[in-house]
Amino acid sequence: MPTTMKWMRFSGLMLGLVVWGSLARPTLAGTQEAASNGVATLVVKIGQVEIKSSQAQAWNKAIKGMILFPGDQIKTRELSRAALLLEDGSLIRLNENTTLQLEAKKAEKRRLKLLLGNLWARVVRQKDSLEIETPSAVAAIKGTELEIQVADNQLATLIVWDGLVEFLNALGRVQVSAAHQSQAQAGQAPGQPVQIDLNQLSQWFESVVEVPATRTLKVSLTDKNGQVQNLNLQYQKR
Amino acid sequence: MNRFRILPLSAAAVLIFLSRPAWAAPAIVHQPLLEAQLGQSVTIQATITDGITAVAQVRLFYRPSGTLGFRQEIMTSAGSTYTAVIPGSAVTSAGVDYYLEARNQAGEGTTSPQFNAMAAPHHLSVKGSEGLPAFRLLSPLAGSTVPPEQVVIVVAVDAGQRRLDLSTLTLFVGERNVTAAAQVTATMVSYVPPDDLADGLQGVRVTVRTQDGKESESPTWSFTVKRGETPFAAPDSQPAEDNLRFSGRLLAEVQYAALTRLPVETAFLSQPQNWLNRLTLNVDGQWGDLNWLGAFFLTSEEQPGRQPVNRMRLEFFTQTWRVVLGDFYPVFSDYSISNALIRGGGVLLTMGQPGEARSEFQAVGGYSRLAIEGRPDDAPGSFEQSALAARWLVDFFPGTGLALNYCTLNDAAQSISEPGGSWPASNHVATAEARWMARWTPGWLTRVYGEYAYSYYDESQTVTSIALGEAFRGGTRWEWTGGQAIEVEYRRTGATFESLANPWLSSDWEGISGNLQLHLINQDLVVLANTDLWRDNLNGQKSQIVTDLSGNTVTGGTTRNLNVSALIQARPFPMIPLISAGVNIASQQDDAEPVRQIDNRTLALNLGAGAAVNAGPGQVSANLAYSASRFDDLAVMALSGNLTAYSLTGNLMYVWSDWTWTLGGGVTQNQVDNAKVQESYLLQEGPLVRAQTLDYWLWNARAHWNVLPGQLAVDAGWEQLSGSDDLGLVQDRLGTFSLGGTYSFTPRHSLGLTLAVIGYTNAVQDSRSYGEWVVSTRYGIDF
Repeated sequence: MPTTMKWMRFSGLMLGLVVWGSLARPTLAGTQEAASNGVATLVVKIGQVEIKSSQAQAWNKAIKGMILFPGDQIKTRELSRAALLLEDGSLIRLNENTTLQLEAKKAEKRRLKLLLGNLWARVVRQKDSLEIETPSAVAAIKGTELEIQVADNQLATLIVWDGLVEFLNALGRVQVSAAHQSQAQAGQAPGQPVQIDLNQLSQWFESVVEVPATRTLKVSLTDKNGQVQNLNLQYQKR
Repeated sequence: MNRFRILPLSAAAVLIFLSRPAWAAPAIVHQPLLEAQLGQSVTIQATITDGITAVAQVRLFYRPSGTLGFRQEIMTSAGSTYTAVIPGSAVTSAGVDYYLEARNQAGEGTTSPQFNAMAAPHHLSVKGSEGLPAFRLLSPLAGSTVPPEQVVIVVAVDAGQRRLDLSTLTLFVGERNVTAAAQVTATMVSYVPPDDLADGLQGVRVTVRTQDGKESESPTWSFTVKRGETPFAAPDSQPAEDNLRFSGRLLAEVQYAALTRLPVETAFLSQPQNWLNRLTLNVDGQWGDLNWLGAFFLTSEEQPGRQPVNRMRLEFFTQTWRVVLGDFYPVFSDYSISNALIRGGGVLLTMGQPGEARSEFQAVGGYSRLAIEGRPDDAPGSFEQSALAARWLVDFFPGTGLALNYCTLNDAAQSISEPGGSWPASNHVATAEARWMARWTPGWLTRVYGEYAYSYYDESQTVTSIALGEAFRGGTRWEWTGGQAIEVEYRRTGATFESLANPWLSSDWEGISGNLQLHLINQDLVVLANTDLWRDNLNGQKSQIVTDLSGNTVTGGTTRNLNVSALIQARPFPMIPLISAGVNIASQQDDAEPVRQIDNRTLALNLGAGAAVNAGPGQVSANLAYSASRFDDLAVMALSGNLTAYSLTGNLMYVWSDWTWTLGGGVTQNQVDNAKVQESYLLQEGPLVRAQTLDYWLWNARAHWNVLPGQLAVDAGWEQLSGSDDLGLVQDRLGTFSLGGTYSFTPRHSLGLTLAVIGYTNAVQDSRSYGEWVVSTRYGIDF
């Protein structure tokens, strides 16, 4: 099934046949935030995605292309997804019902805090490693593909798609290689890695891409006189 | 005859005779570099192993980040260590993207990074010694094609050692200044076009001024916008316009060299007062689905009758076909054409998509200029062969299929009437391959493979001899994440040689080999191990009688070779980036009676460690290497001895303002102990001594000054190598002083001039001393 079709089925977005019209896109006002260093840019936004800045108390609607700063949180609602591009080129994709907090770089280490939900990351190998913190353990990454889930009960599950990740907390650490997963529960050391069949897992992250706002459907019909009539139907995402 | 073979091992060249089947891709061990200095060339090094199935070619692909099209260099090898240089002109403030590609004789290739290397290559951040900001386009990837709805332009900014005046930052898309609609921070700039960008090539560029007034500009990155085809696209819908792209690099170099003295022994070094001209041109481009690339290296160094130095290659390719013209290494099976440079043409047709059932047909024709064993390289035309080869491969599933190969090599010179010349001969080889692969999980796979070959070698026109050969190899390989693997292989090779004119030359021989390999690789530890057992009866002439060098009549026999080697590399601490240890054990023995002709043992050990400390704007690094080898010959010659080598090298680099200083030095001591060498051998071979200690000292100093950052840089260097021994047999001194500079008219045009003075003195053999001065100019243009 094409990725786009999977995404359409997943998202449940309504596609209606409407007359062609212009689609207004949100745009970023020209802004300069010299005081802060941006750490990520929201490059894909599907459905309801919200941002809470470090100084604000309320969640606001996210805008595609906006730059996020240390302390900012991003949340995806039900049937929504998002993708962030970090300043080093690493790509983070968030599944639905996920909350992630961006942290400032400390001691040459970049850190993200996954509070709830499910993210997939393709991390660019750098001198300084990326750490993804969960309520129960930290994943230290040096160039790899991985997925992390944090359940409501704070059980953190690390799945390594490629490369090697160190999964650690105060009680212990394990090295998790590709096609293995480890789980960590608060108050317990991370579990020993177990091998998994990656083919059996949902590759939800493959569908975190924007689809065209409009498409054209061309239909050829033969009328009762035997003449071919062409019908152009244009539809747009709502 | 046996020759005294003590193998000098260095940290970079531990003898690892790793063999892999033709269908198993080579293994690349490469620690990606992370940083480089603006405008300074970068040496890329990797350990690549592919043993019995030799590595056919290793190429480095690189480009300034944000530009289209990779340039490529063929990496040169020293043992299993491959090296190539990214020229300083490609090391721009935007950084450098690069990846490595290694291919073996069977065409199996691998890359570093292992997956999707072209789209997601290694990235080298560039630190400007003058601290200028560096830019990098994060989205869309430069050179990528994206639908308009996915265009989010994101540029990462690294201010380096300076502070930016963000009010001066300007973002251009094409020629349009879109800064007003962009979000700008000190580290990232993002922009989402309010309306879909038009289909076609789009350029992105950033300029900014630092707070101390220095202007900085990114390269112009390009990406292509292309509307995706809808599932219901009408037949009459207009196709997207093809983008014609042409880019490349031209480097012309002219060198004038003169020797103050030209003794016969140094004639190979240089011709007196001669122009040495070199021209390098790399071009590539794209037109719709058609890609092309051209690589030319032309030099006046080429000499008639020797291996060709000039290289020319043109390639045109799409997803389904590829045509190659010029000098190239065709990729065939292990028992077919292997490691042969062909000057001619080739075509490859592919049906099917990667990852699905597919079929390939490849045909190659041209001349091969490999040396023929046993004949002198400089014999007139003795290493010219015409070559024709074809290969047909069918894969029913990825990694599972059959292939047929045929090749014929015919002596093109037929210079039997000339001294050292060759005689008419033709060689035909046909092989059949089968392979099976199962991928259990994305990280685990198993391969099973086999190849059978039949050869017919005909010299019947002259010496009335015909050789028929058969060979088989088969094995299995288990691979798991990150290039780790274990492999077992069995080979059997046999031949019957019949000479009607000289029956006493007729012989049968066969060889059997078993091989076990282990590759354990993760980010901080590499373990490579290899065991190879070879048994043959190469000496088994049908007469079964051989007279050895001492005049004894012996019979037999079968030779057994055992070779075990292992290499461990680890990166335990940030300060000590590399520790390596290698060991090589080999033995060789025959069953000749009454006296063994071959009976020797080799044991070699190699240890190395490197450390680097960054301190502010400087770096101190040191490398320590120790190698020891012992050779025992228990056969007639009784050649036995030890070679021990110690090496310590250090480097100090310091960056101050627009200056970069480096100072290095090192000492290597070789200790030879040949206590067991027979007196008769000493008399025969002359220079061989019982005990000798040789010391080599190397000193170098270099200064690099960015006079006008980004425009004019000058470079001065000095290097001194001196060697001496305790017997007075060696007293060498080689000194080089160079002074040069490069001026860039624009970021894409540069002109360089270098003057070098070289002096060599040999106090033992003064006739070998010489002096030389070299002037070279070079002009480079990127387009």
